[in-house]
Amino acid sequence: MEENRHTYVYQLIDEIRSGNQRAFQDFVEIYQRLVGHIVFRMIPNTSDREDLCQDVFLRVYKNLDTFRFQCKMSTWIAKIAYNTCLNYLQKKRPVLYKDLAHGTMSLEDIDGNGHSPDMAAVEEDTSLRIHAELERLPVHYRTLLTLYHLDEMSYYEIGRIMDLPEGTVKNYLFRARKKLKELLVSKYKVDELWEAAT
Amino acid sequence: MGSSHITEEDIQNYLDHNPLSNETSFHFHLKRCEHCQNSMMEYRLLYGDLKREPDVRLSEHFAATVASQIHSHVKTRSRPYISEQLLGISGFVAALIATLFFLDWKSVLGFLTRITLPKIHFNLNFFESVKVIIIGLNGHLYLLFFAVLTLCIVEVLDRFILRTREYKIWNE
Repeated sequence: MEENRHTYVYQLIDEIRSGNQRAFQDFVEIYQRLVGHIVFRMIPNTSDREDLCQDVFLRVYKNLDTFRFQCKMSTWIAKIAYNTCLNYLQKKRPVLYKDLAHGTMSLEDIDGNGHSPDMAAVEEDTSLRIHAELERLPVHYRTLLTLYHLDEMSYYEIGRIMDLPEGTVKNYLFRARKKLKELLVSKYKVDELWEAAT
Repeated sequence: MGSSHITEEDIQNYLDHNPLSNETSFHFHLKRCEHCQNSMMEYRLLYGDLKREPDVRLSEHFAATVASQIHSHVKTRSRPYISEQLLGISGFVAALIATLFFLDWKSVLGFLTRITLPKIHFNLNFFESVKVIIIGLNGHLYLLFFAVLTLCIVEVLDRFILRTREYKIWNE
């Protein structure tokens, strides 16, 4: 199944390289979920998210000739999406970017307050509860959790995307989940969480 | 593990299907400790929640919109292909000229004549073959040296000119 998909993607790449616009549309449809996950988790500004997704795919297109199949296409695209979001955060949100320095990021830096009334209303919806709490984690943690749990990437793949050693990926994942669990448990009773899950 | 509780790291390792330091005592303790069972349940809930799809709302015709934007690029795409092909052809011609220039045709032809003789061919083992090849070169080992050098030049061209563009995207 996975092999068929790879073969199909490689065929699409050949067609895109020969200028087939329709093939690129199919290609975008395959990877828009992955790009959407990364961009929507990393970028707080909702109005810029779709533009950034478009920007990611245009960069993918412009650099497709340089893709030499040395890694999975999904890893390559995720790397471009991640870097595009980092560039955006550096330019537009210098305060947010402070979280990103690898060596200085600590759990104590995470803001534990500052929930808007709108956010509180959203959190009533159990399906959005986890996403609301995720917003309170540093952008690195959000990205790690997204790539690992939603996109089912390995430590190695995440390390390549985020330029982190595998051990650091594992350690950050552990810390991110621990913090997220604490945030959720401090806010909701376990029974409440259990009912929502079942 | 005994009386002390299971660490959160071990619980996460278990849920991630990573190897545990002591799996037997992990399960033994988990069966008897309500505190660790609660902790495990909290993490199970968290893992389940993390699998929930975020609200990614791209416009309905997102893919078509992006594809229509690349139209202007399509016309200019032939340029990088031509430059790469020209570079490849130049490399091949350079390698060919270098080989022809340094080749001692007499010794090579003499060598080829000898190794095609069935009598010699069937009696040779691997080490004797190597010996014959070296003797066949008539002492012109620099031919091998330049062949290797040519391959190195081609590799360097590929790594630092063609692939550099790929590395760029990783570090942009």
